[in-house]
Amino acid sequence: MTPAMPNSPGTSPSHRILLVRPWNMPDGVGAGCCGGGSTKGLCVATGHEAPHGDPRFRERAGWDAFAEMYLAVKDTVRGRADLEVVDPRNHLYLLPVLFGDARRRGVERWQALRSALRSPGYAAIIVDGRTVSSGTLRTPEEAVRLIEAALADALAAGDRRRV
Amino acid sequence: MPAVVVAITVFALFALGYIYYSRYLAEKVYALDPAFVTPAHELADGIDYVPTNKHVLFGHHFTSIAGAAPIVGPAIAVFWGWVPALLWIVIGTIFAAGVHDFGALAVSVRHKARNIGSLTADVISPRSRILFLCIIFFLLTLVNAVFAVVIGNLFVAFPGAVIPIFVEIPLAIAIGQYIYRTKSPALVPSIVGVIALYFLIWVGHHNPIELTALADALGMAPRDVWIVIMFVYTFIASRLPVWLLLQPRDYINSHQLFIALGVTFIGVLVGMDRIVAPAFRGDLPEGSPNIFPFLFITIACGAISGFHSLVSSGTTSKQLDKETDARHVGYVGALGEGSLAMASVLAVSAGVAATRVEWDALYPTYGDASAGATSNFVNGIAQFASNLGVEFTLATVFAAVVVVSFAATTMDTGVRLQRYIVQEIATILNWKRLSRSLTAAGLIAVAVPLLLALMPGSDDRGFAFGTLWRLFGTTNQLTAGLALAVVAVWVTKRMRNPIAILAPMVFLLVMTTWALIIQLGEFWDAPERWVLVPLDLVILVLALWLIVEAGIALRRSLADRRTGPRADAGEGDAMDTTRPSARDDQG
Repeated sequence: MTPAMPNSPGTSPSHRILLVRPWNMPDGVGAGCCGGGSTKGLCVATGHEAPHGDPRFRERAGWDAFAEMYLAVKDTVRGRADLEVVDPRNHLYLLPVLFGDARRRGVERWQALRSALRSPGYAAIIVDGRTVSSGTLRTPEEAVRLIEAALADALAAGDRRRV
Repeated sequence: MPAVVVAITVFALFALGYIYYSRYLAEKVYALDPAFVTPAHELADGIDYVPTNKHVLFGHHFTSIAGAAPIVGPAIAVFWGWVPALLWIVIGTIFAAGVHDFGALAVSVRHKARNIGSLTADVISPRSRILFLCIIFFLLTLVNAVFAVVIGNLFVAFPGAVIPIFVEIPLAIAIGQYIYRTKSPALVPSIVGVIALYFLIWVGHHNPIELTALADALGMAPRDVWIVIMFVYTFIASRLPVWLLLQPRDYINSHQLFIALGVTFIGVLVGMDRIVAPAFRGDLPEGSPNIFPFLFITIACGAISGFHSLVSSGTTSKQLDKETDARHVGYVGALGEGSLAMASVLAVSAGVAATRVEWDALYPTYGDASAGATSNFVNGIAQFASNLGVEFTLATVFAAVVVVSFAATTMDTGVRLQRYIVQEIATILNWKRLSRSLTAAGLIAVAVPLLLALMPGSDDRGFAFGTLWRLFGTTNQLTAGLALAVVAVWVTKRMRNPIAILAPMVFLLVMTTWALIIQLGEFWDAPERWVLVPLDLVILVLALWLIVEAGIALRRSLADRRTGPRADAGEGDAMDTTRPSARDDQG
């Protein structure tokens, strides 16, 4: 049986949570054709399918903390919010999204722009355009607590706006 | 004809390709299913397997595939006229590259996001694993040799680029360390990095660095000194952790990629430069290579590049949120690469010269076209930049820095990857010492392309691009042929019509084999290039081996189709547990 996919078509969560990867854990690289994918040790060779234990991918060990946090957040917000993991360099995507989300919260233009420029920090957690954590890689428990609080605030603010 | 008209026409054709052809591929050939649980969800680990928004993933995918290679091929290929070059880019992108990049992504997603190397072993045959590794070994060797020569030539032709390129290294490390230590947002530091780089371009422009005296003292050509320096640098750089140099430099490079594309297309729009190159070149000088098959291996990246299958299946497939996103990420990624190749055609057919006479002086023979390719591209882009008010000579340094940055990063990555390939091959051959020594593998990864770049006769104009580039193109197309064979077998097993994959695969393998046979004769007749005879021969054997393996695998899958799945179906078949329903298959 096909398990249900989070955020699958038909569901439309009204919140967006962005997790900014630690800067040394990005995805694509501007390495160029015939050179791309270096950052993650592009798996060209069959022996590199499971690089976790491979000493050549030593730096990956530090990424596990982020992974644990991501998995905890994913389980917590499933179906309630869109969860996206973004490379910190991806300003072309981040800036408009952060600006738009902040504007939807009723933040003024200039303030929204400033917030968008400052938000994508190291391991940042951003809920509906509001940075709830930046500069520190949170434990799974901390991250979930911060996100729950932010979602509750957003819900309350939405109720106030409707009233 | 105004270059802007060509650009708009090509973009319109790409849009049609996306709207109609990629939809056909998605629905009828790859049978994508929006409800399919992708490996990003099924195996989510927060590191490799992360469901990612399709626009975000497109950005990551595109910055991983776009670079210097789609610039060089078209800059040479306009020698045959700008229309054939552009036609191959447009047709190749829509009907070959899109099919290939998209297909590699789709097949990988249906096989737990495994890379094309391991899929080759399962889908084609276990033997083909070594075939794949050999092709990649030659691909990376030729990439590293060619790009070392590119950089050497550009440093000699544009000595103003030396300071910005070399100061970019500590600059990138400093920016990386700043972000790492302060854990601050990357936007401002990386913009500061780009601004600092542009300031360095101005400094370099006024303080060009030439190595003539050192080269004389060593009894070498200045270009060769730069080549040696670049390989020493890449050997050291490949030993550094990626977060120390490669990643922060990529921050700056990714900004440069978009700035260069913006400058090109806005410059074309503002300047309304006209194409002065001949549409078709009927008056080719005697001894010129024939357009068939050489156009199709001269432009590899930009029309179709086998390397993209490694990116599609290596990293992108692990992050696909919905299977249907593969169309957007894979196909549009190929269109982006085609756009870069088109920019190169415009630069060397409209930007580089104001009149046909000027253009003819730059492209008198194939050797000149090859030798001058990157310089012509640099001058063409500089012309577009000067349309925007930048001083022309300063703009040449800007364009040279863009090309060298991408070429240097490609070398960094190429040497890094080549070490793994050498170790992988050594493991298969049971050469334990080599398989365990990163230093020895690194030395081989550097020494082989270095010898190739400095081999006797390499000082001949056009050697790097007239000869090595064509060999690179053939190996790149072989990689694409291998990936297409994997996709074709998979599609056939799923009871879908594989013609959309078989057509580009057969075309590529025919062009590649044809070119290798012609080149073999050329190298045989040129005693100073004897080294290339065995190299060409080995690649030819790999090509024939690939054709045989692909033929056997396809025949087997067609037989399976008639008789139903085999009881001894391989792992790849067994893993493909998400075959579309019978209703879908009849669709």
